[in-house]
Amino acid sequence: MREVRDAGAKGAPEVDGDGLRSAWKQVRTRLRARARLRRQQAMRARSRRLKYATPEQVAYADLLDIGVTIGRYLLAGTFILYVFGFTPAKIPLSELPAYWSMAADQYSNLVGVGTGWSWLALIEYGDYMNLFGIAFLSALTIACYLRVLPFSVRRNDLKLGTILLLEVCVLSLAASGLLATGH
Amino acid sequence: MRLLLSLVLALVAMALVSEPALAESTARSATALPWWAWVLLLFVVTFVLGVIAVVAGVGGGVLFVPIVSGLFPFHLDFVRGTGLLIALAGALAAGPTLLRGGMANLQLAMPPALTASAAAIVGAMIGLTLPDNIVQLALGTMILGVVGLMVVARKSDNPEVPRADALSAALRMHGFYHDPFSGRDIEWKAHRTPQGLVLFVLIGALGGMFGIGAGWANVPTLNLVMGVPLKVAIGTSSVILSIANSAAVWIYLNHGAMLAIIAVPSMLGMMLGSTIGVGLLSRTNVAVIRKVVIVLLLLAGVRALLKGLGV
Repeated sequence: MREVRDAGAKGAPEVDGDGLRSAWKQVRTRLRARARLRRQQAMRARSRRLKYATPEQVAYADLLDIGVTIGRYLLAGTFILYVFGFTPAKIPLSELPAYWSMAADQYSNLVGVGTGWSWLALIEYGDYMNLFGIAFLSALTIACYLRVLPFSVRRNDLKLGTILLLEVCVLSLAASGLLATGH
Repeated sequence: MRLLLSLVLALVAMALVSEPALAESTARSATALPWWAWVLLLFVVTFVLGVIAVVAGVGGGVLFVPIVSGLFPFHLDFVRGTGLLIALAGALAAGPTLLRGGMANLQLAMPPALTASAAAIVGAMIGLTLPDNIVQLALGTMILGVVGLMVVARKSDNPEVPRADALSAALRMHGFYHDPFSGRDIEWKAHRTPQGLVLFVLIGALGGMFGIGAGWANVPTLNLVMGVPLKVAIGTSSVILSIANSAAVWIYLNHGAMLAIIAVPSMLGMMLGSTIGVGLLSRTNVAVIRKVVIVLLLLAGVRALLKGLGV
């Protein structure tokens, strides 16, 4: 017996299956308790917010938050690509000082881009790729208003719904490019 | 830090009053400086403006347009487009925190934002159609008006509103917010709503025309005219600004009055400067900085007037 025990001790180490299972159970219990605590904290924070902010206000804020973060990264990313020459520029950066004192419509005529959304045709150029991030940030408000619209429908709130729809129409008209003017 | 800030402000003031007009001389010798030097300079100037804007309690947009158009060779079209974008970006960034905390009220913001955004579109279209000298003249007059408002405008922390008017009651423009200093929940309501909405039409049009944010006008209108508590007025002004400026930015963007090489460094500089400015707020004499800003705006306003008159 002793020889067998000694041989076991010198050979492969013993694996305590019960010990591992018990350790994993403890870890799992702790992880679940932490997740439960985080959920409870999130619910308490949400009910604190709802005390001072309506549900539609919180929904507007949540979507705005996500949109602003995405917009920031879009702007930063496209600008880096533009400034460090990873994308071609319609007007080379070195030549810009000769053009940026021109009026906007004069500059657009020179570049060969019209008004409205025609800048999208030049999106492969760095200087116009950056405008995508600017358009994204400007469009955020429309998205947030559309996010809030279902609340007015659920509550049968005609006044709120009318104001929301009117604002969406105004912003969409501005975004459409139909109102683009020139000197 | 105070000495450095004073030196930079003095340099900006000297540049604004120097003859011949700095922007014109720099336009002629624009190719003398490489493009990246102008962009770096723009970043530094907007960084300083961002610090000052927070400390002095004025919007970045109202400082950006007159000062950058006076110092840099960029056309006013691009400067105005960028000014709107800067104000928009700041308002969008602050919006979620203010809305969730009840410091901004969406029901209060939506009716003024509707009138202001429609007017901002018209203002932007008019501004982009007018000859440059007329815009400079009008901008100069406007900036001097802003200076006057900054000097005389009072604030009321919690205005007395005996009764909500019919329009604000119908549109549910009321609520309550938590004041951390007193530890109380303060209920508020609005009055003189029709008058406020008319003023927002004017504010939106001027903001769209000149590319400046409208916080300098939104807050007094909400606070002194409509009787909204100051903290809610400041927070809600930011939301109104984000909506109205979105409309105007689209007009400038679709007109081609947006240059990324001007817009993005300006936004970055302003954002970083504002972050530093928040940290400096408790350590700076706000009254002194506010007086310096008033002087700077006065100089920029007079400069714009003279440019408009061809002097």
